[in-house]
Amino acid sequence: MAAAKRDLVCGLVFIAIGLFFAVRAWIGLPIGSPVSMGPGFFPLVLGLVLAVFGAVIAAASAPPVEALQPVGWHGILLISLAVSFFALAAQPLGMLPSLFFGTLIAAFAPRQARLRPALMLSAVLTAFNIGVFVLALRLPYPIIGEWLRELVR
Amino acid sequence: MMDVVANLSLGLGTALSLSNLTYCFIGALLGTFIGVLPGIGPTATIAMLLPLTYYLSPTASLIMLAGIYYGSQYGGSTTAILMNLPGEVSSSVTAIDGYQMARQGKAGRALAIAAIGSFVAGTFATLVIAIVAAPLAVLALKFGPAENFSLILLGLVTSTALAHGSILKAMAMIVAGMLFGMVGTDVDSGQFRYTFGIPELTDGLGIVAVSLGIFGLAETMRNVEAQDSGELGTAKITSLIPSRQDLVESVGPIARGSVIGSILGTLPGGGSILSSFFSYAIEKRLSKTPEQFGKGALAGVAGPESANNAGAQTSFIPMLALGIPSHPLMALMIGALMIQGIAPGPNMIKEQASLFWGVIASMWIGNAMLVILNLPLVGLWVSLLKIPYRFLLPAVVMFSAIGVYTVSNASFDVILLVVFGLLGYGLHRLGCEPAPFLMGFVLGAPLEEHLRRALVFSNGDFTTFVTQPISAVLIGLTAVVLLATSLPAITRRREQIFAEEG
Repeated sequence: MAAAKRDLVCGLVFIAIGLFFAVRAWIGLPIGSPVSMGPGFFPLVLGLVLAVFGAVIAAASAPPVEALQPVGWHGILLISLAVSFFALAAQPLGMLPSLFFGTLIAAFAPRQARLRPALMLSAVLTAFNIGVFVLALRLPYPIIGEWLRELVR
Repeated sequence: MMDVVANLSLGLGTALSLSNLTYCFIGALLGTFIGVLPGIGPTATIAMLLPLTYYLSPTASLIMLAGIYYGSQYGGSTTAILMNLPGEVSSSVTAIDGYQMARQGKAGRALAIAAIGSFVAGTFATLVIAIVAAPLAVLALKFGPAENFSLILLGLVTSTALAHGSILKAMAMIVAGMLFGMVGTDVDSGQFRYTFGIPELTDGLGIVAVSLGIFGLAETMRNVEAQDSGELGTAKITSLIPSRQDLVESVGPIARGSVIGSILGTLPGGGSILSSFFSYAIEKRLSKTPEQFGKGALAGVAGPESANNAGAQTSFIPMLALGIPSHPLMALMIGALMIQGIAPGPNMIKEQASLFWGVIASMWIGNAMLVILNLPLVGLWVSLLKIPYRFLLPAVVMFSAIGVYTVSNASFDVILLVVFGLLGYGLHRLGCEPAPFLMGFVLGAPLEEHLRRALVFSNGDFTTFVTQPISAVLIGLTAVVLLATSLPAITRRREQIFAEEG
């Protein structure tokens, strides 16, 4: 049953997160005692509590309230790619290329995207973002980054 | 009483400065603009616009953020009435009768009554805040660590009770949020926790990256597959002026809505959502024509709209006076204040009096601005709605990305944005709500601190939480809430409420 499986996975995720934090606290941090709590005490307890919650969730499953929609992998991938590209390109390439190409990638996340509107949208949004953040707020981010400037020289 | 007047004058003096008025206006305008857009909820809106306020003074930034908050409420109501697309959850009640009124050609009157009701309720709520906040802060200063711990615990548990969906998952999300909140440097010992040698993590996970990821980016990932809804409402707006009859009929609902909203708004997790549902239920019960509800009853718009605006404003009280967010949006406001170097809490009223009262006064001014602004601008908002989501999505994505980048100056945080976006999306698919996560994230460290101190004072004695009287009461209430939510009768009622919500 899809429902039982979903809650099983959910529970397992929580168990994993909980145990991760708990184990790391146990081996890596001083735990101390209730009177003088070390930095590891609270995370250890919380991690164990979360693992317990996870176990309960996995054990008791409830049917989902809404119908499950298919996962939009295409969209998710492109959104993640767009933001990651921006993150990595912002400094070396500067605001202009990283915003423009980042937006372009994101514009293709929805399935109905087509090239020309995507290009126009990217241009408009890049201009807008540069206008707001670099010009209006005067943030010290280069529009063309150093790496690119070196290349062009 | 004289105190209240003096404080409000201080507030008005601060709020009426030209620059603060401008920020209030910009905030309200931006908030409405984004509130109108489908697919972007108010929490994501505030998270997105938070970086912009970073460069302003604390007072100005909080004024602008507050403006964005109730602006997005207005925007949400507008789309709820005109297109049956509530911009956010608390407007979904407005949509029930509001949209029907629009289909009967009475859109203008519905919008006008919604705006007037919201304004009246906002005024009432502002007075409530003015009267209640200072004494509440005085009381809170008498709280020791045990009381503070129990208060936060009560707040967290209550917010799960009033939240969507499975309580167990909500509690798990809170704990998960708290764990992620532990990343960084432990205040007491100076020890690094979960930093894995990454320097950017020594100050913890940036709240802007986490909240924008788990709310904003995750929402875009959810909506990316959504088809653009075909039929956009055909509501034509004829007259915006309500008839005398409308006004007379609305007095009761607006008054009741204001009171309901003001009270319920202060509850953790309550805010505007619960208030609007309550108001609708009460108006239906009190109405002489209950069969009209669902078919375009004016009271079905006037009451909930007033309630949700009053609730939105009074939900500032726990945050400003006690430093405790009643819902994730307030948690973001706390984040905004902390970025500015201000710790919200009972001391803030004394130390930052002009900030505190300035924000309160500007809420009232902002409400007035919104009434004046929105009615003429309705046409503009409607045309905005016609923008297909495939154009909005890249805008939201990239605006979030650059926003995070500018607040932290680090590409690392933007990568965190992606990580939390994926995490938020994944958890949502597994049936978990992001809101409790953010609450836990913000409240984890304070909770730990209070726990530690309480145990130091009591020499390791855990019973201190129930032997100290105030703390005992709070713990008792927490237990009551926990028990109540596990009772089958309450579970059914909750499911009913959330099912009605759609």
